[in-house]
Amino acid sequence: MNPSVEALENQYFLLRGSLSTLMAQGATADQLAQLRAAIAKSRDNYWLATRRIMHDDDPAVQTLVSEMNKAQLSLDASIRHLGEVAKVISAITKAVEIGSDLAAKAVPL
Amino acid sequence: MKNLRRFACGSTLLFLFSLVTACKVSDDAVAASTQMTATAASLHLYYAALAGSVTDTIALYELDAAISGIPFSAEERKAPEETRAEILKRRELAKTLAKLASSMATLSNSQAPSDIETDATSFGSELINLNSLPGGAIVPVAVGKAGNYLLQIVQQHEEKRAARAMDQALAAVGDLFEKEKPTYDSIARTHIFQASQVARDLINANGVDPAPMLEPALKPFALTPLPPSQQLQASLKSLALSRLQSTADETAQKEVNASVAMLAALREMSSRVHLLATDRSMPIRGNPSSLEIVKSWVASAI
Repeated sequence: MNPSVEALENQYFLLRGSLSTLMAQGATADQLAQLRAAIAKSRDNYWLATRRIMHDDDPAVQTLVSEMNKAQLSLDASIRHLGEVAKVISAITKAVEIGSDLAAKAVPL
Repeated sequence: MKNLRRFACGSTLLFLFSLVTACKVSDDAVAASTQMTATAASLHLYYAALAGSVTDTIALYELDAAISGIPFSAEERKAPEETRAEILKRRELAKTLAKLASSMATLSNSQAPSDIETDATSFGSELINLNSLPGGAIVPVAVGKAGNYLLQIVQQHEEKRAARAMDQALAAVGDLFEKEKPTYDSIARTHIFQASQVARDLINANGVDPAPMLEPALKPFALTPLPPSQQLQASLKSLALSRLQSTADETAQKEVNASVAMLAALREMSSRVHLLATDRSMPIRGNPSSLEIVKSWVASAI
């Protein structure tokens, strides 16, 4: 599996799966709107990567993949042991930004 | 009279010899042609099922927008649709490969039907026009060359050289599949994940009738359940949710098995045709056995 596509797939799966958890945790309407937008962006990043050429040997791509994987681990833990919803959503937004940077590294055909 | 008989005998032998050398396609070539056709037909089915999987995923995103409010704009729809279009190109390529493979059985030193040439032309151009999914960056050039070579050889109506060209084309299609296989698996996994997310939301919102889950208990006795009470519905909800993950994992694994099997069949076919292309006999009869795994997944995916 291309590490970059895999990282984007994992991010989307984690974020989409977190929606019901954060809803149950009493996220506000604004926070949920931010979360939904982040999920949609993450999904878009994944699909862009499935049909573009990802240069996984590019050091910049490798750095972004590594950052994404790190953010993924930390997000997974914070969603599981939910603390402050606002902080979790802020971390999600940052992680999706890394995903967008990664998807932007894909070369259009 | 004796001379006339000798002449007649010689002429008959010469005629039979010319039939054998000019028109005969070897049994091995006919067998390889049949096996390649079956392999390419399975590849066509695999891509068709994968494209169907993307179509369903798009429909699931629409449902997700309606049920969970996750936006799915016309702009966001483009990316999966473009990926689907690429998969459909591969489906068409497999279809043409199947036609070309079946035409190998009719190759002779005399004249090949003109539609073989048409198929070879479309195969070459389909190969060249493929855009790579991730990991396939360098493949189209190599695959395109194989297509062009095949076209030239088929136009020359020579079995051995056609086998060599087919050998090259099959290897190139196998390389393409191998490089893109992780993306195919990811696309199939995304489909079942998305289905499980929408199903989970529906179960949690009490929007699912759990009565069919009771079928294993009631069917042997020809009994039909009444609409489940709230209490029963609550008990069945947690069972349904726990089944979602395991079923999703099993489904994703079935596709991985199918893509592994498809690649194995392509490689197996490639090695068989390679024997033919290098002037050796190809004694194996019967299609690659792994095609059954592909067919089984396709049947469950549609």
